Amino acid sequence: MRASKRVFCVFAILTGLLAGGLALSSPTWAKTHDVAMTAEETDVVIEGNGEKYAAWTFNGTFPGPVVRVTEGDTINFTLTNPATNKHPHAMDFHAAEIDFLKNYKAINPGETISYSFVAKKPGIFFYHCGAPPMIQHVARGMFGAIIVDPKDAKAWAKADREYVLVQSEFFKNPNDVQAMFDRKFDGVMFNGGIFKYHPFVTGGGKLDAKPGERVRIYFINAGPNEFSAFHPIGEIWDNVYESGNPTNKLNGVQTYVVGPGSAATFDVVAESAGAYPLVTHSLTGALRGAIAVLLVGPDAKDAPLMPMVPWILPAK
Amino acid sequence: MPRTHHSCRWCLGYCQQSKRLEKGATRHRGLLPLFNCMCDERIAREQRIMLNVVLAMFAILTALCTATLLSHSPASAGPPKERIVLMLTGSNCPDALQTLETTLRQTDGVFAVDGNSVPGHLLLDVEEGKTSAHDILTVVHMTIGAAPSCQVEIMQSCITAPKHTGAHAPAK
Repeated sequence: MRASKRVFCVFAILTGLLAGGLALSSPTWAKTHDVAMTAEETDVVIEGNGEKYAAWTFNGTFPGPVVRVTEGDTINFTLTNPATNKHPHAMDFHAAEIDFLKNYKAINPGETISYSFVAKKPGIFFYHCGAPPMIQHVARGMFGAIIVDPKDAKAWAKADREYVLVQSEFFKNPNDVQAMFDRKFDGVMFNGGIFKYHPFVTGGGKLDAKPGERVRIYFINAGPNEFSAFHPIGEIWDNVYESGNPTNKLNGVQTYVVGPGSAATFDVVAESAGAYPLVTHSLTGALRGAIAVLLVGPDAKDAPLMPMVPWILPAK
Repeated sequence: MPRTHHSCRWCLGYCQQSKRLEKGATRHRGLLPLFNCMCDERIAREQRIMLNVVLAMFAILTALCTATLLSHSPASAGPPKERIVLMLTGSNCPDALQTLETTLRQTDGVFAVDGNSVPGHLLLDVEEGKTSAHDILTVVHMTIGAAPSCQVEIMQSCITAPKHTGAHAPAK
């Protein structure tokens, strides 16, 4: 009897250890995502009168598509640079912790590169082309956002509505690399458009929300050079999460600085109906394009994470 | 069919006789000089015609290139638009809104009127330089002049976009 009890205890301990080890090495929640992007050198609409810009993009949109995974997930990434392109391109994921030399190298037209990484840390991360001159590849639109949701959804308050905003500088002449080095930008954009979410400007739209909703803004500053001082006019950020990590939590913030190549997640709850412009309080940027009006009203409709991307204007 | 010109003594004599030779240049078309002699005057005329043809072709090519370039500029996408925002304040404004929208849509130089996107506001797209905010206000006051308790004014705020920042005229 005693011997059988001992055998049972040893068996139970061994089973427990095995199960624990398996859980640690291969979490049951983890998924694998195949993400493929194509470098596209194409014209995109960048302002409300229909003006086009000779952009360099991922998948033809400015910014590129939002990638969304959960902490612990594996991303199998493939970048294709079609033979029809004229320039080398690359991909650098800030959410990845992998060898830069091997994975972020530029590939020529007609080539493809693949690599994998595990999104180990939750947050909102920048991705961008790193081909030289990187300043030009970023300025012309080769960037986007990857959201890594925390594996514990209760790590932060549940959002009722979510948007992704990517700020970047606009240079009229996409070939004037010297102007980019000299910081001589002509405008500042949210999601690849000048005053894209400003209804008081021709062709401008808006971001919608209902009173009392917790609106979560996943914010990235693509740069390439300028800092953003992100501020909600008429409101206060309820919470700011540096790099979008729920553990990096700030409360009651009026303006939060996000540097080039950095990101943060902003929560705001507007109790009353009205307009709440989200701006960079660096006013040379705000008054040259970086204003997104959050319009709060009871009739607010559901909207995608990144509205109006691509920016397709109604036929004239 | 390519034309050939030949210098010839027959034509020299012919042109001298007809007193149309000044510099001694004579030619004839084809192999036979008969009826095909070209004296100074005709050669000069032909050169003028050729020059005109070349100039015309250059003009056509220039026009084609210009048209191609303009097709990528905002001018070809129609006249430039400007958004004018009116703020409506007062209890009678909801009643006046529809009348205002209808009237403003029929106003010269107005492309679009939107009274739904922003509560209490009318968004108007007008032809830049043709219709001003002052013109629009005049139309508004003529339309709802008698309506009490609805004040209409041009929206101005800290997020009003300045016109000449450089960001409004992007280039390729």
